[in-house]
Amino acid sequence: MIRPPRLATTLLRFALPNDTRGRSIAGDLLQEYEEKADSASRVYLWLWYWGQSLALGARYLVFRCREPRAGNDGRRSASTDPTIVVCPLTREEAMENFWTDLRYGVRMLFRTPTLSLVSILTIGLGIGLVTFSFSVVYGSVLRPMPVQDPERLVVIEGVEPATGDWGMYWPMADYVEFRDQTTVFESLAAGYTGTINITGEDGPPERFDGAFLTANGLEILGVPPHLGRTFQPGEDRPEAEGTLVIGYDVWRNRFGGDASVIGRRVRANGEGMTIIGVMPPGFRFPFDQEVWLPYRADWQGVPRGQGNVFQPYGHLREDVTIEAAREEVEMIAGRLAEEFPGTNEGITADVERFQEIHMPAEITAVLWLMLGATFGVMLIACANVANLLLTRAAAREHELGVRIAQGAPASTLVLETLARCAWLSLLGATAGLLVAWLALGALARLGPTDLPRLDQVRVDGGVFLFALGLVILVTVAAGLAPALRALRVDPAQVLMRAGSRSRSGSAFRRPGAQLLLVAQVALSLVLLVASGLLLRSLLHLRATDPGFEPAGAFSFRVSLAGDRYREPTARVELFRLLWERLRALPEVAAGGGTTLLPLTRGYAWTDFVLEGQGAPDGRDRVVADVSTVSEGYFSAMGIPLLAGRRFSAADGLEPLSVIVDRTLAERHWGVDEAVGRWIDNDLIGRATVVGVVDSVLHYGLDAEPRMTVFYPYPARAARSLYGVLRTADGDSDPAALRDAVVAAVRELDPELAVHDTRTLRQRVGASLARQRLLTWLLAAFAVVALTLATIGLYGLLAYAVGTETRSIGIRRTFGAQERDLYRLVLGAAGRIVLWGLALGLAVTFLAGRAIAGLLFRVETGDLVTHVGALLLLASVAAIAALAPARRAARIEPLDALRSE
Amino acid sequence: MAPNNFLGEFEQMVLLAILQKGDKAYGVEVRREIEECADRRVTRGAFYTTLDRLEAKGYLRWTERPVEGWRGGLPQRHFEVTAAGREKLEQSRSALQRLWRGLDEQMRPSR
Repeated sequence: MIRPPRLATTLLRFALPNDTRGRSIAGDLLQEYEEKADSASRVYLWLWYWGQSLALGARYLVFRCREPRAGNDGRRSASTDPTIVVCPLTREEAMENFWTDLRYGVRMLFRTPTLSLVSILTIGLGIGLVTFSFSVVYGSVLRPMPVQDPERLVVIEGVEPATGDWGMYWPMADYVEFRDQTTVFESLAAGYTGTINITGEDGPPERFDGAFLTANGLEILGVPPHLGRTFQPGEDRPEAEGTLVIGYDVWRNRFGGDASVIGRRVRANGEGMTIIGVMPPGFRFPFDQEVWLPYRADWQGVPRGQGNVFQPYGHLREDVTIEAAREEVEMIAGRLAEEFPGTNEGITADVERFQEIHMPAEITAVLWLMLGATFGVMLIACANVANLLLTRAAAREHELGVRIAQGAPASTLVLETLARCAWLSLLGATAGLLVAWLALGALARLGPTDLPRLDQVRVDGGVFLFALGLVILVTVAAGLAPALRALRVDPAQVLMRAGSRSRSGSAFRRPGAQLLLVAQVALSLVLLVASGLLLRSLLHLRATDPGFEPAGAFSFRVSLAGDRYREPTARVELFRLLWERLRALPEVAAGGGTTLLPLTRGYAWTDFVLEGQGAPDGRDRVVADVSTVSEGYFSAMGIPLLAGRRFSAADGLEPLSVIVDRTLAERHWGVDEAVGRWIDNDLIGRATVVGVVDSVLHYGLDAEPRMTVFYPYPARAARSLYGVLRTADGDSDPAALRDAVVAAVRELDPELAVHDTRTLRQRVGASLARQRLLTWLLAAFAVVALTLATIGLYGLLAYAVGTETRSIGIRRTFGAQERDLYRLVLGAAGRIVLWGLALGLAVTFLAGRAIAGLLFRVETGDLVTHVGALLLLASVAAIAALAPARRAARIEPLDALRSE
Repeated sequence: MAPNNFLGEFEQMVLLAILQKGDKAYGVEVRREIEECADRRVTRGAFYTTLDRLEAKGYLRWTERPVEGWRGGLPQRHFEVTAAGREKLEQSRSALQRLWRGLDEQMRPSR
């Protein structure tokens, strides 16, 4: 026979009394279920049992709890019979009491549905908001690095001050030197990223972002594989069998989550490989890569300067600071430069935290700040609920007094209140998780698409546990005050006061509740103003012309490593060929390269002497940014030419020409006067200005442009360049050029890797990620704070009108008009809102400076934002106050009598 | 119990059904008896709370019958109407009968 749904049975048993009576009722239902089981369909049975259990259980919860009963069990509850001496409870009795308290909590919820609903909504919003921010922080900061001790994981980058190269990868021989000579790392691995084409019987050829690693490359991350194993020592030797580790999503999507995939042969980049492992869900490394191969080569034997280039990475030893690590790698790089001037001269090393590359510290700080702020909002939500429960407790004083007089133990009263709070926060948390889930969905769709690892942000087990913790916190925070108040009730006083408990208008004037609301209105205003200001500056930022055309352009980075590119002429030749090929593509309108791509990490500057400026001995030097660009770069970027000409293929070392930007030209010569002037630098020599281009916002859309001098690439051939391609057809997706770029580079030199591929629009978007995130989150807080304040205001007024029915009725008897009652309620609301707005304005005025640094072309005292926020708040508050006011106005004199 | 405190209609049905079922007056059977005779649906919630109420008023009592092999091993209650319950039923019936006296002719044409 099919067993009845277990959960339904459990719920029913919970609702029924835990004695023979309850058990027999459950047994009756089971008996009928068994009788039906032979003839009815499975679905019908399931529905029937669930329906009956819920209906029966609800009935018992709502109507039967706590009714004194003297049945065959002979038990009486202590509170109904003062003559019974309260004995210490047995364990079973204590358990029974606990369940009774919980049940009683449910019953209380049903008794005051409005209050319950308002409380649940309030807690739901609070918990939802905190859960939401926690999910974002947890997903993108706490969890994003799926490796052990991510804070100690660092990379070694190459820097060449003379050419302005930075963030360079290292040839194999250098990695081996670092590996053998450094003492600051636990162990050092290396890798580079690339595309990996997988073909095989499991599906059509598919391309994945992957990484080529040393054999210890996965192992040192300290992440055990989901299935199989990671690479073993020696698997990066040239003679080793080809092995492959795949990511969880690849495993699920391409291989159908089949566990027998371990040991399967596939072809990766045309070579037969065996799948040896599957990494756990969420593991991607180093960025979004999800397929890993050992790079099989004779690591010790590759001649200096040859072979591929790699980024060395590893965990710092626990007792080592990053400064000490920098010192050591710099020293080793210096030694290498001395020993091997042919390949390493002028190249030094830097250590950078992996996390910093992943997720800049400033974003992390903002996220933590947000999480802290949301806790504040949630505590306000708790205060709101505590306040609502307190008002309710005040109304129940009489009842409590009677019960205490009858001998109800204090612990029962406290537990009852806490039980009720527990239900409220549990239901609130359910609503909150829903809110968080919806908000995350909205964030994923509308939010900053460039927020790192946004796809990893979701409501999962960790978040769920967090929400559960919040439930406990909220229960205590919101329930303790009302619960303790229950203890302070003095039955004698309460009973004597009976019948004369309402003074006119008293429920409208409760200083504690009013102050709380004033604070909330103020907070709402502050948040509304702050998010309004941020929104306006974000709009300004988005409307800002970066000095180039972001639409329809693709960018990437190529680094020439190894001996073959020791001579600058080899570099010039390779890039000349590359641009030639790429420009020949039908979908490309223009293409070129630069050492410094705007809105991208990296900078270089030096000092110049300008013709006609300052003293002739060159003491008055001008500091300007230095960039090296190839022919075609300005057209590809869409940077307008203001005077003179752009670089052509003929521009090289002799004669040396430069192009300057508008900022430099305007400040020293004037745009029209600049062409033909000379510019001098100690290292590079004297050059003639041949053109003036418009200034570009290199350091961010909110930064001022800096003076910039552009050299033609052949004059200062750096090893690594950013390439920019502009599509011929404005509509086509520039990212589609990625394959063509990779193919062209591979054709010229199969060992070269293309990395950091992004459209220019993505780069502009990424540069606004922080502002956008801040704006969105602050706006979300403002909405929640406003909603909480509204609910709080409504709750206070509705409760006041409800408890003052009698006095309002009496006022009616004495001739009060509807108008007067509207005035009574709206006046109470108006006082709170006005004080709140005044306080809020004062805070925005005083705290304006805190946000000023985040604003762009918006004053902290921006009138539009302030007026908008005030109007919004006032109108929402008016709506919240109107319903209770109407109810008050409809009270008839007779209602007053009925209410007693 | 004050004599003017009459049983409700449903309370009467419950007590009568228990008397009808006699030895077999278990929860499921009693409820089924009411449903069949009165031709109406009886929700479990109303049924059991009424049983509890009648028990609290002292009109019925029950004894536990252990079961084995069915009902998930959960106990069965056998219900009995107490003397007070019978008296109450009788009281209700005679009141109704007095009220019905001579009305049969009058009621018939209107049907």
